[in-house]
Amino acid sequence: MSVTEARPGATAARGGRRGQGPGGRRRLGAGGRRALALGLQVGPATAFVAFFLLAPLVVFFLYSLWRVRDYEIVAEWNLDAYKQALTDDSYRRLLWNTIKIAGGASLLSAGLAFAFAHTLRFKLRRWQEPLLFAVVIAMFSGYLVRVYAWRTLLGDSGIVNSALRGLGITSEPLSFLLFNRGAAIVVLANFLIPLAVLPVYAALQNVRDAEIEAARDLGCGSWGTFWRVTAPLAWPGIFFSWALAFLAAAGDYVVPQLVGGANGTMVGVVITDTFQTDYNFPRGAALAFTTLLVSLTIIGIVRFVGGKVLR
Amino acid sequence: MGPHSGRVNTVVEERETAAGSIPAAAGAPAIAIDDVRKSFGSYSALAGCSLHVERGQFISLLGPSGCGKTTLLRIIGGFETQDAGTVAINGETVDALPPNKRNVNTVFQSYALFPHKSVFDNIAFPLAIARVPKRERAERVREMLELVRLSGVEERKATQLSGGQSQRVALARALVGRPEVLLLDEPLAALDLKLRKTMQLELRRIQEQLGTTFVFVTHDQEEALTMSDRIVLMNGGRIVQGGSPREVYDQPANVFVSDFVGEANLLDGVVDGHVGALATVTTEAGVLHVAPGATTPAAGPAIVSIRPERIALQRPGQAAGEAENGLPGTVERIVFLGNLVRAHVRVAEEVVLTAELSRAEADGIAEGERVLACFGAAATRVLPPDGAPA
Ligand SMILES: Nc1ncnc2c1ncn2[C@@H]1O[C@H](COP(=O)(O)OP(=O)(O)O)[C@@H](O)[C@H]1O
Ligand SMILES: [Mg+2]
Repeated sequence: MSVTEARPGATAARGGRRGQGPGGRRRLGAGGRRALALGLQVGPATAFVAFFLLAPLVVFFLYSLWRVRDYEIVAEWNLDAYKQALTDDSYRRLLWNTIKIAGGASLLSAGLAFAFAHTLRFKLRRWQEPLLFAVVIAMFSGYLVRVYAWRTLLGDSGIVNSALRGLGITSEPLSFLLFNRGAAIVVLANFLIPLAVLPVYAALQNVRDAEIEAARDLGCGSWGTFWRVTAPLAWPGIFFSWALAFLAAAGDYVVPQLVGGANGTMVGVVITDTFQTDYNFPRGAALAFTTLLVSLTIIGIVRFVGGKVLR
Repeated sequence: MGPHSGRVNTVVEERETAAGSIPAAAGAPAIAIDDVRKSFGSYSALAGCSLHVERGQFISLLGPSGCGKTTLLRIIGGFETQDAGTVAINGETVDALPPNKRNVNTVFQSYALFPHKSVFDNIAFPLAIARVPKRERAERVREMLELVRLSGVEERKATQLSGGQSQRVALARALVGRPEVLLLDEPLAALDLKLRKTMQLELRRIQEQLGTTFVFVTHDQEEALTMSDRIVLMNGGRIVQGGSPREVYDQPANVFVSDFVGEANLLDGVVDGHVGALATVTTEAGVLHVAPGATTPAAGPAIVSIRPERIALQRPGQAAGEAENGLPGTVERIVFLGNLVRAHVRVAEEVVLTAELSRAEADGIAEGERVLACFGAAATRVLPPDGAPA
C-alpha cells in the first residue's frame, strides 16, 4: 500500500496495464520492486554527484554570501562580493577578457577538432583508430611541459624567431608571438583540441552513409549535404565539444600566467590570487560563481541558437 | 531470346539503338545501360551489363545475394562510378553527373530517413532544396502522403515510425520531386511477410498511378513475379536473361534462371536423336521426348527442366494419358501444403522428381506406391549444360 501512496499515478497506471486478475497486492509488490531496482541503479550515481560535485559547490556558494574578517570567514549574509564582481571596472574588464580568450580558444579548438574528426570519419576511415589513439595520448601528455614547449617555440630566442632570423627574414625577434591574448588563445586551443575531438568524433559516427547518400540523392550538393544533414546530426557533439572547451578555457589560470602577458590575463588567475594570497574566500567564490554563471549563459545561448539554425 | 549469342546480355526488345548516342528525345528509353563494368579491387562485381528500360515500366532486377544488383543500382543513382561503360537516363548520358544532378531518386534499403527531421520535413526535403515555395511544398507533401496512404504522422520524428510507416515515408520522399525513374533497393526486405505482400501491391498501384519508371531490386523471385512488367535476372555480375514474368518462368534461357525463378526438376542428359518433330534426350531415368526450342542444343549434353506442376502421377493400370513421357517410379514422400500436395517420386537410382498436385489429383496416392510420372513434350525445356557457353 505504501508504494501507491508515494507514487499513485505511475504505479497504478503500470499495474493497470499489466492488469492480470484482481491481485492488487501483487501488482503493488511488483511496482515496489521496480522502484527499488531503479533506486539501486541510479542511487550510486546520485550519491557520487551529490558528494563530489554538489557539496563543494554548496560550500563555496555559502562562502560567497558571507564575509571575511581578520582572515576568518564569518557567517554574515551579504551580497557585497557579487556587487563588487559585477560593478568594479577592473573585474568587468577581466571577465570580458576571459570571455574573449575562452571564446577564441574554444572556437579554434572545436573548429579544428571538427575538421579533424570529419576527415577521420569521411576521408581517412582506415586510419581512424590509430589517429584517434594518438589524440588520446596527446590529451594525457604533460600540461606544464607543453606550456614551456610553446614558450621555447614562440619566445624571443625560440625556434620560430631563430629560424626567421637565420633565413634573414627578420632582424629583430618578433615579440608579438608570445605574452599576449593571441598567444593565450593558441596555447589554450592546443590543450583543448584533443578534449574537443572525442565528442565530435562520436557524433560523426552517428551520421550514417545512407543519410548522406539520401541527401545527395534528393538534390543536395556536398555543401548543402553538410549544412542540412551532417552538421545538424553532429550538432549535439559539436556543441558539447565546444562547451567543454569553453568551460575548460574559462577556468584556466596557468596558460594566461605563463604566456598571456598583460592583455592575456584571465579571471582564473585573479581568483587563485584572491584565494591564495588574500585569503578572501567570499570574493574569490563570488568571482568564480559570476564567471560560471556568465559562461553557462553564453553556452545556453549558443545551444539555443545552434539548435534553431541547424535543423 | 538469343541465348546462343556470345555474351547473354539482357534482351533488348523493340529498340536497338546504341546507348549514349541517343538524343534526349521522347522515344529514348528511361534508362540505357551499355556494357557497364565494375570491380572492387580484384573482385569483378559487374562483368559487363547492358540493359534498356522502357519508360513507365516496372522492372525488377532479380538475382541471388552478391550478384551485383545493388552495385548496378548505385551506378545508375550515381553513388558508384563504373570502371567502363555508359549509363544514359532519358537519352542523356549521366556518367559525369553527381547523384543530385540525376533525375532519379532512390528508396534505400535502410530507408535512410533523416532522424533529426519530422516526417513532413523529410518528405519536403527535396522540395526545400529545389526552393519550391512553402505553400506548394505543403500541398505536394499532402498529395504524397495521400498517395502512400499515410496520414496523421506529419509532425512525428522520423525515428518514431514503424517499419511499414518508414517505408511509406521513404517512398513519398523519393517521389515528391517527381523523378523520371525511381530506384528501389530491396525496400521490402525488412518487413514481415504480411506487410510485405501488402506493400508489393501498394508499390505496383503507386507505380501505375504515377507512370514513373521503377527499377526494383530483389532477391525474392516470387516478389519479382508478382510486381514486374519485366524481370531482369542477374547472376555473378552479369545479366543472364530479361523478359516478362511469363517468359522467364516458361522459357528460361539457362539452368540458373530455370532454377532461380520458380522450382524446377533438372535432369542431366544427352540430346541424341529425333522422333518426328520431337528430340530425344537420354537421361538416367530413361529416354525423354522433348519439344526442341531455341535453347535446345542440336546434340550432346543438355539439361532437361520440368516444372513440378507440369508433372502428373498415374497409377499403373490407369488409362494412359496423352503425355509423351511417362517415367515409372516410387512415391517416396508426400508433403501436404494445404491447397496443394507435393510428391517426391524416385524415377531412377539418383533421380527424384517433384510433382505438384492438386488435392483431387493426389487423392489415393500413397507413399511407397508405384506410379508413372507423366509430362508432355511441351512441358519440358532443354537447356545447355552448366558452364557451357550459352
Ligand atoms: N564497396 C565495396 N567494396 C568491396 N566489395 C564490394 C563493395 N560493394 C559490393 N561489393 C561486392 O560486390 C559484390 C556485389 O555486391 P552487391 O552489388 O551489393 O550485390 P547484391 O546487391 O546483388 O547482393 C559482392 O560480392 C560484394 O561483396
Ligand atoms: Mg544488395
